[in-house]
Amino acid sequence: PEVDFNDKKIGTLPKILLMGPRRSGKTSIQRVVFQKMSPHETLFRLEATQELERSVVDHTSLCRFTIWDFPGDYYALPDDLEATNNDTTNNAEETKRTIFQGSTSLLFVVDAQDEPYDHVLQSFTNAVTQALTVNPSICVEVFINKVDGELFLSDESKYDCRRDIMSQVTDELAEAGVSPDNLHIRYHLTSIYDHSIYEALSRVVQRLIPQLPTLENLLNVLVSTCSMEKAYLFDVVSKLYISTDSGPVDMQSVELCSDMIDVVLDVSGIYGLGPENPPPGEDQPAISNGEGERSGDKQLVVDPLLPSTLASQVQSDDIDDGIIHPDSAYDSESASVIRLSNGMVLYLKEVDTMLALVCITRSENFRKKSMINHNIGQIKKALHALV
Amino acid sequence: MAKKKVLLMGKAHSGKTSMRSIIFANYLARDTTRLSPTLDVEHHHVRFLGDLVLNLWDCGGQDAFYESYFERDRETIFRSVELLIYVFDIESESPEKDFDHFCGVLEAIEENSPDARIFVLVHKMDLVAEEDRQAIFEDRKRLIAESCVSCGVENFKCYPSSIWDESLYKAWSEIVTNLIPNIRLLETHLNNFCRMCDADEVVLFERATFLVISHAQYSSSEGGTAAIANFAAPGPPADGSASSPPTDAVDIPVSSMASSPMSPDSGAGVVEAPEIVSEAAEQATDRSPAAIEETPRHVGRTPHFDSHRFEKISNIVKQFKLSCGKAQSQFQGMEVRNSRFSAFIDAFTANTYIMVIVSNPHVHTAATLLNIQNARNHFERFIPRI
Ligand SMILES: Nc1nc2c(ncn2[C@@H]2O[C@H](COP(=O)(O)OP(=O)(O)OP(=O)(O)O)[C@@H](O)[C@H]2O)c(=O)[nH]1
Ligand SMILES: Nc1nc2c(ncn2[C@@H]2O[C@H](COP(=O)(O)OP(=O)(O)O)[C@@H](O)[C@H]2O)c(=O)[nH]1
Ligand SMILES: [Mg+2]
Repeated sequence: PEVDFNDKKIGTLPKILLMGPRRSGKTSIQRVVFQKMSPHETLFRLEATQELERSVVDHTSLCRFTIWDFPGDYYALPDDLEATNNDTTNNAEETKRTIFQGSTSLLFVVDAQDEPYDHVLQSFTNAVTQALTVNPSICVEVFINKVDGELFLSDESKYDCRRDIMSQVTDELAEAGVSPDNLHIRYHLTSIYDHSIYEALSRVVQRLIPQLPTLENLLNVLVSTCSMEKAYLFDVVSKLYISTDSGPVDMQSVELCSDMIDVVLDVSGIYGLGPENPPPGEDQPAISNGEGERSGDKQLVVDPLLPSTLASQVQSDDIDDGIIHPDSAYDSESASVIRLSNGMVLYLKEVDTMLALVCITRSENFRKKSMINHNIGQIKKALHALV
Repeated sequence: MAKKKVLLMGKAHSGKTSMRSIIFANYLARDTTRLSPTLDVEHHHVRFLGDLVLNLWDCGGQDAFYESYFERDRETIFRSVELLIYVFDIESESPEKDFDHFCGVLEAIEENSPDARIFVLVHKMDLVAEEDRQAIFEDRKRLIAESCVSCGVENFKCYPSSIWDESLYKAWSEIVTNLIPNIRLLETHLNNFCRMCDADEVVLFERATFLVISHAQYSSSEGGTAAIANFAAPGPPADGSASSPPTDAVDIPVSSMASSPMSPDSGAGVVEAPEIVSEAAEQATDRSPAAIEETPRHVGRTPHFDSHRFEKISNIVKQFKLSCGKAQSQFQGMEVRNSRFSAFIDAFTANTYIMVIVSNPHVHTAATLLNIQNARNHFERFIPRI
């Protein structure tokens, strides 16, 4: 389905601009994280991007943005962007503004396996200077991608690569007259073959969420009242975490929580999908939620063509409705408990459409489950009030 | 302790080592690209169900090795084989030669181990477009059957497989359950357990490999239906909180195993028989027939489930076990639910995991957990220890 990017509702969403040289992995990143393509499929299923491809990410109401996947030479813009202005001199300006204005993250993808980087980093500097003329507060993120395989077996080699690129970027920018004080660049070592890409994109997305401080506060309160070790809010479709409490983030535990989401969606996809034709005798939803009527609950909308909302992107006209698909494996009763041998418990609970609270807690503190549930219920209410 | 010799054969690069590593050594599919070719024969002892030791002979598939397999080492290789697993690579460049080797192997087996069970895997099926898979597999299977007939082999089983999807688990589950004695008895007990839990289905997995060894399904013909979920009023919300038992008292264990059809061998062992919470029994004594009639019957949804679900679950849980390993921990058990079902996957007996699927909203989480807990000792006694 076509998404109308001239629509104001979509035009004003935060943007993630994927830029960088050809074959650095921009499209792969977008497909793997947002469209569930398996990393090894990107090897043979992707062709070079010919023109700007835009898509909307709108799984959960707190986390909505658009992704702009540019071709390697990123000035090949689509007609509808340029058609807005006939005057050719203003045209370039106009285009630049459309791209960089507003809440925007310039995500520059570098292929770590393709040395030397100097040419690539020149074009990076180019993009950054252009962007700054329009939007001085733009977020700049460098993804040092493809840090996997033979070349990057050790962490040391990754850090070397990052150091290398950071110093070159600093030199380049200084040469172009960009003061380091005006710009905060973050660097991420990524690979689509492991969890690093999710970690990096989570941090990018968090920067684009205006309610982030509030979310963090809510989670801080939850963690301290319930004596939890850690709590995350995950977009279950992309598996990016959009917020966490302010305690230190341990990559391994994030990865485990993210893997838990896979387990929950996969198992629910097998046993918990809504029957398109309910078996005889089961003519009504089997369960009543014991909480009475909740004002925040959305109407269900039936669309027999979509098996579930998990893999597909929500279409533009759904953007305000926060549609829960009746056949979705993830619904308002979704929850999961995983017990580990080290005495930890992972607890996942639905808090909004396609949004999960995942917490890590010691099993002795998990005994007060009704208290935990109550508090999560409070968070749920607060989240509804936020959007 | 029983040792069983398993021959794993097939042309070089057909995927033998990959399969073995995924099933028995917790490799991820993508890690197999790093495997180096098997030279000559590699011996591996893998444990299954605790006491069953599979002595895997992973036979390198290069032509030169075949000469020695057929000539010099013929007896060593093909003697006292319990199970032959022969792997065909669907993308093989020389299918004729593969079949020559296959026939050679069949003859040597017939001669040295006439009782060996034979399994053929048509492997790397992921490389075939999905819409053609069935047809291409059937075609290959027909050729394999012809080869078998011409070598005088009557009984063999043939499965499609790929390390990139659940077909690998399906094939290996079938192979391995063939080695388990008394599997029927186990199934009967599992069926009873399933009925008592009001579960849609119950699946037993081997602990180390997570291969399926037995499963039971809700079935309306077994007479379980009539008594299921005869509540006059809706039950408590299935929110998993064990702390607040409902007033209906469904949580109180009622029927003891001794008087139930689950009793394994009447007489012996009755004393330690565990208690099983059976809502059905409770309801039957508690409510008048009139009340039973009024209530909507809950109907299990089993017939609608995906036929590859067990292999998918194996895959899912094994992946997650690996994740736990990375985080320096081990997975013990889980519950997953949404508005339509609850799944419980838990360490069960010493050598198994159990999965219980419940869609009846009136069955309380605590009851299911208690049932699993109580059934452990009972099943421990006759999950085969070979
Ligand atoms: N090893 C490795 N390969 C990757 C990674 N990310 C992408 N690739 C591979 O890089 C190749 C190019 O990826 P694309 O996503 O098409 O690159 P792109 O940046 O969109 O290229 P253009 O559209 O031409 O600008 C593909 O073969 C991917 O499989 C990574 O993290 N590690
Ligand atoms: N596409 C695909 N490749 C596979 C599959 N199984 C194994 N492979 C690949 O085939 C190659 C050879 O596998 P290996 O196990 O070493 O073969 P062996 O010589 O029979 O032991 C490896 O690169 C594996 O990654 C499969 O099911 N599908
Ligand atoms: Mg591209």
